[in-house]
Order: sequence, then structure tokens, then C-alpha cells
Amino acid sequence: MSPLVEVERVAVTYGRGPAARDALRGVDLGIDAGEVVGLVGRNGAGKSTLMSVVAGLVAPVDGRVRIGGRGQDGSLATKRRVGLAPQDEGIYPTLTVRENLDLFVRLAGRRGAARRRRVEELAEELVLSELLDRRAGQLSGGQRRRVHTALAFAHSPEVLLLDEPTAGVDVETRTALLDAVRRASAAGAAVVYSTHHLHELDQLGCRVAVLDAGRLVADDPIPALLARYAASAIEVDFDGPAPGDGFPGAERVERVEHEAGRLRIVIDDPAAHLGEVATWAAGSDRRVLGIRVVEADLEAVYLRLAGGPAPDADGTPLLR
Amino acid sequence: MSVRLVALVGREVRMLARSWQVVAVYLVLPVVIAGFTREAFATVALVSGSEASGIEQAVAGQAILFATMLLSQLGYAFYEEQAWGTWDRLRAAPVPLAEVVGAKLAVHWSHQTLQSLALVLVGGAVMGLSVEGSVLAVVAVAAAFALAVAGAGFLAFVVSASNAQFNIACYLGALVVAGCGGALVPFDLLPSWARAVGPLMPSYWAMRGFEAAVAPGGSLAEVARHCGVLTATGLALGTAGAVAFRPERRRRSYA
Repeated sequence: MSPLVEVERVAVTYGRGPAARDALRGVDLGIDAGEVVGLVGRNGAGKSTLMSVVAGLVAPVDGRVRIGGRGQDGSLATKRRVGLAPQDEGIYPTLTVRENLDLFVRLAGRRGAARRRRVEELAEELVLSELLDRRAGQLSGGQRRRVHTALAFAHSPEVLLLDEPTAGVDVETRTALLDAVRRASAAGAAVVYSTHHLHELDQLGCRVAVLDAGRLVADDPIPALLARYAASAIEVDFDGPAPGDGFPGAERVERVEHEAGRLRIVIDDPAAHLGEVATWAAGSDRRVLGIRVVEADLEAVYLRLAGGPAPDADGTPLLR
Repeated sequence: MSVRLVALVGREVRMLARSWQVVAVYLVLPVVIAGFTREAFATVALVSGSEASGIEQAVAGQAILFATMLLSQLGYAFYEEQAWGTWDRLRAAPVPLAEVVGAKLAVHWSHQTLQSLALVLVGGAVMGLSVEGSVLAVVAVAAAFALAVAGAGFLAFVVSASNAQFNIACYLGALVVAGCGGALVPFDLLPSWARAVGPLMPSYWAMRGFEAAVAPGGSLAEVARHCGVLTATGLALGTAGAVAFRPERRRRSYA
């Protein structure tokens, strides 16, 4: 069965002539109903552009997007299926929270009791019930962000595009937003969630797509990414240059990296080998300043895939 | 009217009501200024042997000037969406953009019409202007002129790149249009070049329409030509705006 959202060879170019800049270069991505895809990449990597293309706000110069088998043509039929919370906050500050929510619920065609009920549901879901009658412009940054995100949920879309929904928010707001994403996904929505807070993707347990210079350089569940692009290790800091060799269990070690006074021993299940390495380090002729286990994490994956220097002007990808 | 359109119109009205201070200023200022220009219009009317008292021209002139200046509110209605980040939100929402734009234009057209009528009402109360012709004709002229203004406002928004640009065009345009139409000083006192271009201005037709509507014997038939010119102007400008409209265009804005 085809994914709910199909992004096929999508390319987007901004500007014309010498000032033209490729924002997306042949991106392929499929998202199933009920699936959350974390979208990561440096600023300018193309995350927001990709969301805009899926939402029908930006037309690709090449490739296509299909929502539920139907081409994204910006029609009402496809708009009804997609909810977008853009990166930049978009709420009416002179209206109350209730009026903001009510407007977008009405735009979805709900009326009467169903409309009022949906506004209450949204408020409850995004922890806004106490704020319903306050002007949106008088709220704190985190509260405004919740209103902003709630508007994307207003018409109960099948596809949710959340562009950095937790930028600049407090822990309470982050928790509320992540809970809302989990509930939407459990209810069958396909969610694209872009963020620079990689631990949120761990919490969501989602698939991660990494964009770099407009190209999709990885698209896998977190365990697969960790296995492929990151490795657990034991790091030992010495007072002075690290000893070159001689540590135990060399046959089980994947590789050893030297960096000034630090020795990084990449090995499966490092915690099990910590004592062995500590004994070896203590017996060496260098003073040991510290020893620790470094678990493979998404940050390491991200840094490997998209954390290097800015790409060349021709957009050479940074896969290393 | 669809649920969506009701929602959009309600939102526009609510936002306009929440900037009531601006609405109030646009009502008070013209009355004050009409107090100053009334004598000039009365003198010219006397010298030219017109039956008009000058009050109706002074009031109509200010109604026209300030209805034109109300364009700034229409501009704000569009530019605020850009500044607040709600424009993309509306573009992505399940609503045709034509309804979003239509709701804005409808509300601001109504506002301009009501303001002109309110000025005639207030002018009547404060300066003794009496509508001896047809109230319906006054309403028709006010509505037709507001349509011309709304069409011009939409086109100005479409071609402007920032709300600073829009405001300059709006205030400069309002003064030129109102001036050449005889809304600021009596038409007969205008320099010859201004009198030559006057009939090309909606304000010219609105001034004459108001005069014809309030004068004894004024009727819908008397103002039909004026209203026709104004309506055609509004529709032509609005259509040009719709053709040139690029919803995805980024505009510099501040709220």
C-alpha cells in the first residue's frame, strides 16, 4: 500500500538567474498514516521548504507530492487533509485564544455545538483551557506557541506538518506538544516534525529524515541510524599524549581514535569493558584524568551527517 | 453565505472594532476640517450662482477625502497578516483564498460606505446639512465610491512590496485623487491642469454624485451615471488587482 504522503524527486529553486538557489534537490520521502517522521538538518537545509511543498504553499520545479494518492495541487480537497504549523508563529494577537481557535475550526466547516466542542478539545489538548479568553498577544512565548500549534490541529488533518513547534518553549509546553503529537499519531495522523532538539525525536521514537543542503542524506528509524552512523565508545582522558596501544581486548575493538590527550575506544557494549579499560589505563605510565562511557546517540548521527562545515556553493552533499 | 465566509467576515469586523480609536479619528477629523472649508465652498457657490449652500460640498469633500484615506486600513488588513505570520496559515487552511480576500474587501468596503454616510449624518447634525434629495441616492453614491476606493486599495496592495510603500501610495494618492476631484477646495478654484484631469478621478464623480443626491429633486436616476462610473472604476481596478495578485509573494511588513 502506498504511504499517505508521497514525496517524489521534489526539487525547489528560489530566485532566478545568478541569484537562483536550490532549496531541495530531488527529495524522496514517504510517510504512512500513524507514523511520525522527525525532520532534522541545519538551518537552511530545506526542512521548512519541504513542509511548504507538502502543504501546497510552494510549487516544486520538479517532482511531485501526493497526499492519499491525490496530487498536492493546493486544492481545498488536499488542504483539508493537511495541517501546517509553520516555523514562524502565525496567530492573531488582537483576538483571544478562543477566537483564534474558533476561526480555524469554522474554516474547516464546523458549526454550532460541534464547533464549540472542537475548540474545547483543542484547548484541552494543548493545555490552553485556562487561557481561552485571553488575547493571544498577551500570552507568553510558550503559550503563544501552543496556540500556534493548536491551529494546525483545528481541522483534525490526516497529515500534520509541525515546523520546529518547540522552538523557545519551556519544559511544560514541550511536554504538552509532544503528547499532542503522540495522540495525533495514535489517532492515525502522519506527522512530520522538524526540530533542532534531537532528544525530542528519541522521546517520540520516530523515524528520522536528515536533510543536508536540500538533499535527503538519511531516512531510517533511530536504532538503524545509530547502528549505521554512530557508535558507542569508552573515552579516556590522559594528562599528556594518550598511549598508542597495548590496551586489553584489542580483538573486540572496532577502532581507536586519538585526539590530543583523549583516547576513544569504539567498542560494542562499552559498559561491559569499562573496568578492563580502567585497569589498563591506571597501569599505563600516564596520569588518567577521566574515563567514561559514551553511548551512541542521535546527536552523533546528526553531526556526522549534517554537522560539518557549510556545503559548497554547488551544494555538494556532506555525507561522510 | 458559507460558514467560512461568515467566520472570515466576523474576524475582519472584530479586528476593525478592536482598533476603534482609528475608526473614531477618521470620523471626527473630517467634521473638524469641514468646519474650516465650509466657508470657502459657500463663497464659491454664491459667486458661481449655484443653488448649493456649500455645506454639502464641504461635507462631501471630507467624506471623500477620508474614505480614500481609509485605504490605509485596508492595507493594514492585508499587511497585518504578513506581519503576524497568519497569511501562510490562511493559504494552507481549507479555505479558498478568494474568500479570504473577498471578506477583507467586503468589510472594508462596508466600513468606507458607512463612514461616508456617518459623515453626512454628522455633517447634517453639526453643520445643518439637510438631504433634500434622496437618502437612497446618497447611500448609492457612498457605496459606489467605496467600491472604487476598495478596488484601488486592493490593486495598491497587490503592486506594493511593503506596507511603507503602500502607505505612501495611499496617502499621496488620497490627496491627489481628492484634490483633483474638488474634494479639498472647490473644483472651480482648481488650476486648469487639475480641472482637466478631474473627470478621470473617482472623487470627481463622487462629489457630483453627492451634490446631485442631496440637492432638491435628487434621486437614484440623477446619480445613476455617477454611480455607474464609480462602480465600473472599482470593478476594473479590482479585476486588475486580482489578475496581478501573487499570494505567495513575500512583502515587508510590520504590525
